[in-house]
Formats: sequence, C-alpha cells, structure tokens
Amino acid sequence: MLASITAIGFWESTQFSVDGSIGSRAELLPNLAKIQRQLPNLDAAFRQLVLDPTHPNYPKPSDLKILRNDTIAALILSQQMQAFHQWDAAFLERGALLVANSNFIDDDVLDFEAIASAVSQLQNAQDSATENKLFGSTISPLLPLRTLTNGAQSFIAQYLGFHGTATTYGSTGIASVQALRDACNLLQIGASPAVLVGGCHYANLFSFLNNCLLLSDTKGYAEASAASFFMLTPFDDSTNSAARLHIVAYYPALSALEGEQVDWLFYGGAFTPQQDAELQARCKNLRYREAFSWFAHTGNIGAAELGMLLAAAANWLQTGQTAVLVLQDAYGVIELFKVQKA
Amino acid sequence: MSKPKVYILDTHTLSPLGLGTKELLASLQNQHKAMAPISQFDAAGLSQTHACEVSQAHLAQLQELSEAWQVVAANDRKFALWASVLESKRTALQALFGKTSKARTALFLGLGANAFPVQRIAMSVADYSAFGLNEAIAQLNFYNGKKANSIFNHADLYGAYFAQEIAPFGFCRNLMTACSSSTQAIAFGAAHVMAGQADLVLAGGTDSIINQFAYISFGKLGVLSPDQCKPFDTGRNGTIAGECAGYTLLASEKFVRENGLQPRAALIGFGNSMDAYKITAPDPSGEGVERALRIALEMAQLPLDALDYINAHGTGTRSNDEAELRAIERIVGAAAPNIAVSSTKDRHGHAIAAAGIQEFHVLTTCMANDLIPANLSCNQPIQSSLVLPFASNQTKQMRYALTNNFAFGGVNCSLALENLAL
Repeated sequence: MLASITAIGFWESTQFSVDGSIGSRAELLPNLAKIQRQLPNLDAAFRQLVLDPTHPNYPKPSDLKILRNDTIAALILSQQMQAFHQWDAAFLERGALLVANSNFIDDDVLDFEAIASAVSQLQNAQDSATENKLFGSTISPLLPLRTLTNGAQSFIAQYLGFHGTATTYGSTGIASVQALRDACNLLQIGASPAVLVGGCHYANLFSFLNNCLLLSDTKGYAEASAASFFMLTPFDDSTNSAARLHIVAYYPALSALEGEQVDWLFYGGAFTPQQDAELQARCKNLRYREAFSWFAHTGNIGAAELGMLLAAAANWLQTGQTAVLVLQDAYGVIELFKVQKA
Repeated sequence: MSKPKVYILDTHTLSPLGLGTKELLASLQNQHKAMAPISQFDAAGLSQTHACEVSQAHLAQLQELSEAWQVVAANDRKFALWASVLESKRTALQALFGKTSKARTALFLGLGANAFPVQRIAMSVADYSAFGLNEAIAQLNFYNGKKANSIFNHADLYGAYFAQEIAPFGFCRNLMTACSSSTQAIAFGAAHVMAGQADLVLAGGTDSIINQFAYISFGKLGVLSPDQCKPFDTGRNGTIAGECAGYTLLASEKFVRENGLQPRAALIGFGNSMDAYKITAPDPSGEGVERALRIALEMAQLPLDALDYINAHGTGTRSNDEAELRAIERIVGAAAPNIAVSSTKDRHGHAIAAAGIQEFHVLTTCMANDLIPANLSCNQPIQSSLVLPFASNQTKQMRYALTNNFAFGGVNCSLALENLAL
C-alpha cells in the first residue's frame, strides 16, 4: 500500500461535493454539453461551470482582474473543502499542494478579434519603435499574471493560508496522475505529512478548438469544466472516512495486470465516444466486473477527471474491493494504478 | 528520515554562457556578461533593448531535424533550445538510458508558459474571418496537428521529443511554476529517486521570453532593468532577460554502483514553500524563502557552519534581493561571515522557467572548480553579515552549497548539494 485517500471533493456543472459523495450510477445525469454551447459545423460541444459572484467563497474583487475561470472554480471548491474537513496546521505548514492544470487561458485573455485589430494598427507603424510602442499599449500589464501557469496553486495557497510544498503540473488529462505519483513520493520519503492533489479544467473556445485539432475525427467531442481535489496521507487503515481508499500500486503498463481479477475498471481521458470505447477496449485483458468512465456524463474534464473517478471508486466499491484506474492523455500515453476500498 | 543522497551524474545546458560545462566554465572564469542588443526581434523604442541570448551558432543542429520538428522549432524558441541541447548529447544520453529498463527512468521538466505568436494569430484571423473563428484557428495548425500546435504546444511535446528522438523513458512530468519550474523539477525528480521509483531521472527544463510579445508583457510588470541587472547592489533596478535549456542526470546509488560511476556531486536536500502572501509580489519579510532554505538544510542534515556558498536567486529587483539576503542571514546566524552568496543573473540573464537548471549548472561547475562567482555588476553591496564577493571571482573549496529560485505567486525552492570530490 502506497498511501490512503482521506477526503475527496469535486465540482462539475451538475454536481458539487465536499465529502466525495456522488450517489448511485443511476442518479447520474447524461452529458448536457450540447445544451450550453454548440459550434457551427462541428458535431462537438463544450460547457462551462456557472461561477456565481454572490457565492460566499467567490474571490475578492481585487483579485478578479488576474484570476482565470479555472482558478476561480478551484478556489471556491478548495475553500469549501477546507471549511468542511478543517485541515490542520500540520498540513498547512508542512503538507503539499499539487495542482494539475490542463488549460492556462481564458477566452477573454486571448481575444482574437482585439488582437487582429491591434495588429492591423501595428502593420501601419512606420518603424519598429512605433510598432513596439503600439504593441505595448495593447498589452495589459495584467496579462502575464492572468496567464501565469501556477495561478491556481498560488491563489489556493493564499486563500487557505498554505505555506508548504506546492507545484503545478501542466499537461493533458494525465497531469493529475503525475501529481498523484509525486504525492506518494513526498509521503514516502517523509517530506510531507499530507498532500492535497487537485485538478481543474475550464473549457473555453480556445481549449476546445485546440483539442479538436488534435483529433482526426471530432464526432461527438464533448468537453466540460470541473475541479476536483483529494487528500492523500500515508497508508493508514484505522479510520472510517467515507471517502477512504488506499492506493495499492502503480503499474508500468496494462500488461503488468493481465490475468489479475479486480472488481472495477475506472477509466478516462477520452475526448469522443469513439475514444472512450477504444480506451475501454485497450483494457480488454484486465478481468473486472464493471467499468465506468465519466465521459458519457460530463465529456472530457481534463485534469479534474482523476478526482472524480476516485470519488466514483470511493462511492461504489464495497469494503475490500479493488479497482484499476486508467487515464490517457491526448497522445494516447496511459497511466494506471490500483486502489482498494478501506 | 535517513540521510538522502541522489547522485548527479552530469549537468548540461545551452545558455547565453555557451554550450556545455567547458564553455560555461570558461565564461564564468573570464567574468563574461552575455548582455547584448536583442537579435530575435527589433526592440527599438523599448525601455530595455538588450537581453542575454543563446548564440545562433549553437542552434545549427536544428537543420538536421526532420521538417516537422523544424517547423515546431521555428515557432517555439524554447523547443528550439530544448532540441539543440539534447541533440548535442544524443549519443551520451542514449548510452546512459540504455543502461536500465525504461520503467526505471523518468523525465522531470520545468517549462515556461507558451509564447503567443500574435502576428500569426492575427493574420490568420484576418485571412479566415469570413469562415468563422474556429476555421481561422484551424488554419494556424496546418503543419502537424498531432505533434505540435502552432498556437499552443501541449506541455507533453518536450518529453515527446525525447521519447521519439533520443530514448524511451518511463514517464514525464511537466512542472510549470514560472521562475521556480526547473528548480522544482530537480527537487521532485530527486524525490522520485529517493522514493525508489526510478534509478535514472533527467531533470531540467527550457524557457525563453525573448520574443516581442513576452518581452513587452514581461517588461510591463516592471521587473526588467532599464540599464543593467545589478544583483545585491543598493542601486539595483531590475533584472535582465535570458534563455536556457538543459538538464541534470540524477541517479540512485544502485545505478551508480552497477555502472561503476564516480559522480562528483550529489543532491542531498530540497525545500519548497509558499509565501501565501500576494500573487503579484514576494513576501517582503522573506519568511517563505527562509522556510524553503530551512527545509532543504533539514533534509540534508547539515550543520549551518558547514555551508560554503549559496547561489542566490538574486534577480536584481528591488523586491527580491534584500529579502533573500535577510532570510539567509536569519538562518545561518553567526556562520554568516563564512558563507559566500552571489547571483550570476547579470552574466546569463533570468531564464525564467529554466533559471533553475541554468543556475544549477553554474553551481555544479563552480563546485567542481573551487570557483566562487562574483556579483560582477554589484558596486555598492547591500549591507550584510554574509560574504558578498564582488568585482572578481574568488577561489574556495566548497563542500556544501545551496541554489535558490523563487517565482511569481510566491513559490520558493532551494536545493542542497554536496561536493563528493572533497
């Protein structure tokens, strides 16, 4: 056993949970992405979270000018979880906060139309000095901060009063598994007593189109927005938290698990229904009773997917049952590990 | 906790101070400062028109890359630097990665934010706006959608290049915490070896902000000096931009023993902390910095008077340097007069996400050659009980040393090294 998960929280458009509870599979809503935004000429859609400025944990107005939507979502969720779980000084002072991010930009940061208009002005500049001056006048000094890759990590630390180890993983959907593996390392060598691992993904026009471009077939592509966090501690079988799962082991490849019987397969990282089916098919040599992916219910949720899969595992596994979690990135690279319900 | 030790097999960078250890050492010994007029774009009219750039001659190997990779390199400077530094050591890297199974290797990379090729985006929008914005963006990606996206490269691209062109590895982590990215990549890579998860880790990164968009927007944050970067000088007024790509090879004791290697240095501790103060400014009290250094020293189980040298973050900005010095003074107390502190950013510039690997290489090179690099541009040092060598380099054996990097958002990381040759 590598570590234990003691708390899970997540926020997806139809579901919010600070204690990891998600109800039964039958209660899950189908993918509503198409309702929110459908682009012309593409059989694909994305949806965003509704960020309510009146929420008690909504960021301070002075911070809003440098906050991206993914960070706002992560900030609200992490504060709610802190209020619920009351993490202690040991975590806040010496723990770790490992944040996975799968997009670093908002639609309004990369305003194509505004850029086009600014550049047409630039093209009329007589010399480089004028061009640079014009260029400078179109760039907000806040832009580098809004595109700061570690924005979520830094704001969460500030709002939670967290002074420990923190970093940000930038990648596609498996960034959160990278974070989970590093979390296990930090626990194992005694560098941190507890690690909060999180991920957020906020679908927007830019990330959506960027991801579409990676696909040879975008049919049914759906992307959603979500944030999730889970708390990891050294292996401990003594408490009875509802969310408790143990991380059993990592595997270098699916073939390492061939012939082994587990109860569930949780998988994710697909962008389209076809990819979802292909990923499950890649796991055909695993022996499991049931399989689950969030894809049909949420669409691709990038770095937030791992936390939500863990929530599903914590809710649906019976005590002692095991599951394999498999996540895939945009290039087909997979990460996998086994969990057991406490 | 038992005393951890992760062996440093080799460190290699491509930077404004040259390619590889030999060129870096010569440059450090000659007290060379790489600051020069910017060649990558016309900076006329900007308050700072200079930066520290990698010499074009060191990028010649890019012409040997396949056309698809050349296109990526043409649009992404940090990829061009990354591919060049790897290609310059291709044979050695392949030989080393061949000594253990793929599953026992990993890459930990510190990466900068993506550059915005603004002109190309704008032209595409103008050309294709009749077809709608999604078509315009699609047109930007006409080269190779799978390998590289010409607006934004997925962070996985840099590891993918290594896997496809150099050697297969177990997996790759991409750490993106601005100026502490590659420092943290080394720290987390070391943790991976300490936890027994791998025997060989390549840790480092790549970054450049020397392009029109990034340079202007970075300049707007008010951190670029209008004249010279002068770390620890009372008249310091900002940093100077640099660029770098590189890596260090971290190995377990088992790997070292089985391959009969004799590493000259080891990473014996790391410390990370968050200021939790303000996203836009470091905590002026330096408490977060102090915490990171203390944790690194604790892990290394080092008595304070054993420390010989600290390669500081020393950006030359008003907000960093004094807070960093005071934090170090509080930690080392009475040992301060025996500890030299310097920043080499005035020589190679601030490589942002690659600052960590740039300065790690400076440190390993200096340790191996008993060289304490002077704060070359410092004329009126801040008052301090620490030794702040200026004007000229000094000679001193160093058994234990630290290197620090701090980032926007209040991220602090410090690494502790031991010289095994003494």
